[in-house]
Amino acid sequence: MAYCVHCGVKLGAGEKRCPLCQTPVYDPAEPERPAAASPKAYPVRTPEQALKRSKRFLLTLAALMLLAPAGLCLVIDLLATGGITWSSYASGALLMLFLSAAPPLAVPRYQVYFAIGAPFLSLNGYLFLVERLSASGHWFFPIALPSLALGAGLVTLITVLWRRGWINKLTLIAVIFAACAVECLAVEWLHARAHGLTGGLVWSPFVLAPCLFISLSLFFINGNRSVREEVRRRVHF
Amino acid sequence: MRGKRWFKLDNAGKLYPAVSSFRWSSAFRISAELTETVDPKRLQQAVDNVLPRFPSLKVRMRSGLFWYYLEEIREPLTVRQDAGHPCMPFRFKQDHGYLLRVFYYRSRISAEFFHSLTDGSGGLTFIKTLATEYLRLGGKKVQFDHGAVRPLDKPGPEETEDAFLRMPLPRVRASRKEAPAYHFPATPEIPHTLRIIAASIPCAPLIAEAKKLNATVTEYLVSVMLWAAYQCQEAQHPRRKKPLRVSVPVNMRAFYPSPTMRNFSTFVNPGIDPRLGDYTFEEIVGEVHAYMKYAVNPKLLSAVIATNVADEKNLLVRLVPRFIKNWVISSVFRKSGDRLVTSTLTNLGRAELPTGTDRLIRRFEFQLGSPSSPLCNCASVTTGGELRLIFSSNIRETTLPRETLRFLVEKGVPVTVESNLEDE
Repeated sequence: MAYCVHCGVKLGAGEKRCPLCQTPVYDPAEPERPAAASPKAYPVRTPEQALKRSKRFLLTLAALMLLAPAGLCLVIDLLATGGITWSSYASGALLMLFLSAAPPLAVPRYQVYFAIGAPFLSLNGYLFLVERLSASGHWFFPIALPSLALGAGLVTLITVLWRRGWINKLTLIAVIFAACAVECLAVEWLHARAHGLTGGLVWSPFVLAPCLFISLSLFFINGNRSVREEVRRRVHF
Repeated sequence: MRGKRWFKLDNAGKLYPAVSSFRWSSAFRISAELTETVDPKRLQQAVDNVLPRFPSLKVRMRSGLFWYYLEEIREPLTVRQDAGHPCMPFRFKQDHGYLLRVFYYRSRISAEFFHSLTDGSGGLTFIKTLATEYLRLGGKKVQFDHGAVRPLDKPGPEETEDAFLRMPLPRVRASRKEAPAYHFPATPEIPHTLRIIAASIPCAPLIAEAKKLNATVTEYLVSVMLWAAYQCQEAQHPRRKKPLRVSVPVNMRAFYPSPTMRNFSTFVNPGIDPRLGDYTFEEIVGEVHAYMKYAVNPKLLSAVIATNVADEKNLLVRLVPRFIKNWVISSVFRKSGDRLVTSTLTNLGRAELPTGTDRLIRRFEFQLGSPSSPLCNCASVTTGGELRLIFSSNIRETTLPRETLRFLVEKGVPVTVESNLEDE
């Protein structure tokens, strides 16, 4: 029988950590305490089971809500026009939404990265489809794909920074504004390059300037303790 | 073959089917821990023998046009091994629609109840009867007394009555208006996860500590919980203080004796308001003691119940279709319900052991299901000289149990802790 050195409570025989403060049980006389020697007083919860069940329900719901209308659009289009015309856009959009939602629900771990990757891939697929069907020129590979790839990369980078705890809430907002500025700059540059435009940047500086201003201000506030406290004092709610 | 028997939901029970969700199960669990390992086959036999004695528990939830109702189940209830997910939500179409589950784990027999069926007192009667019948089937000389009922006796009509409707109710109604209470900082767990921290506390030193401050054990425990919340709020939100309240269910059978197995309890919310100034622990105990003395009397409690019964009896309310009632009830519950309290402490009191079982039943346990908000709730029952206090929560933080139990240890009350938490 062990006691928690922080809480002072006696711990049940099956506890390897104090349930109140998570301090590990350490008996100097028995440093290698056998784990299975004393079973726990209660069966240990297994959250994965519950997670799977609720996710399965959401997956079914997503399939019903998105795939059923997609199929319906195709059928109506076929009956009305004798072929697949407008319905490919509507069905493609619904399919894209389903493919964005389904993988994070179907996979038990690393949901965040699936949540970024799945919409990226499905949106690319949809835009490629639109380009092919609409005959509106070649814009997918020169503009859409690199823009989306840069966006996904920036979102992943911000997610990693946040999950690792390298940025706080204030710098998270600063980084998001900076990422928006970079994305706008890249989209205009890719657009100009694809169409052979040489007039320089036209609209992106109008987004870039305020985004960078906000971002740098937030970095400054975050870095300066007295300013940070002053801002907090004035805008707290 | 006679038609299936059916029951109206009792006044308190009407709330739960409307507001229960995949996050909030409206369930609670009562267990009997034996001194021997449970034999599943014998337990199944005991359940088969005992369940017909409790017609109000052998029911499924059915939807009427205006209200839900309970319908008799003729299929047997199957006992299951406990799987680490206490008080999971009941799905009305699973397990033949049973709103009752019976589990076994090592030497523990547990029964989970959907709150529309019964309250803690009714649940304790069931588990006492089940455990005694289980021991009888094992050849032990036991008697069905001290709260256990004979399985072969015919249930009386008053056992299935809605006792709220039989008690004298005043014309005056109590107000429900209260400001939202402080909640501990909480990181919600994923749905269907209930974290259990169980503490065994010897009664003698606990009673001695309570008596020093002229309080009962319930008042003392409520005060310790309020003190934990008070200190947490002082540390985290010193400028945005909220009232602190602990909801304490009150068994109405103490004032209006009734053998009903249905719900027959209400609640009071003792607490303090730190916006008025600073408190010492002794002041909190004094406030709680005074409040309980004032609020826990049949006249005031009847006024609270009169408010609920009047709503149920209102002709306009009765004529509204069930799905609209569900929406209204769940909207009202979201705005009130758990928002008004910091936590809940339900104390079943001293559970007497049926004759012959004192060396065969180690203790009883009482455990609340997942709260509707990210909270930590608490339930207790005393067996022999030991109080079993179980904190159940759907949050990762253990602030309330940690600070409550540390406080007791500091006061010289020994505490033994067990849990269902993974050793991460």
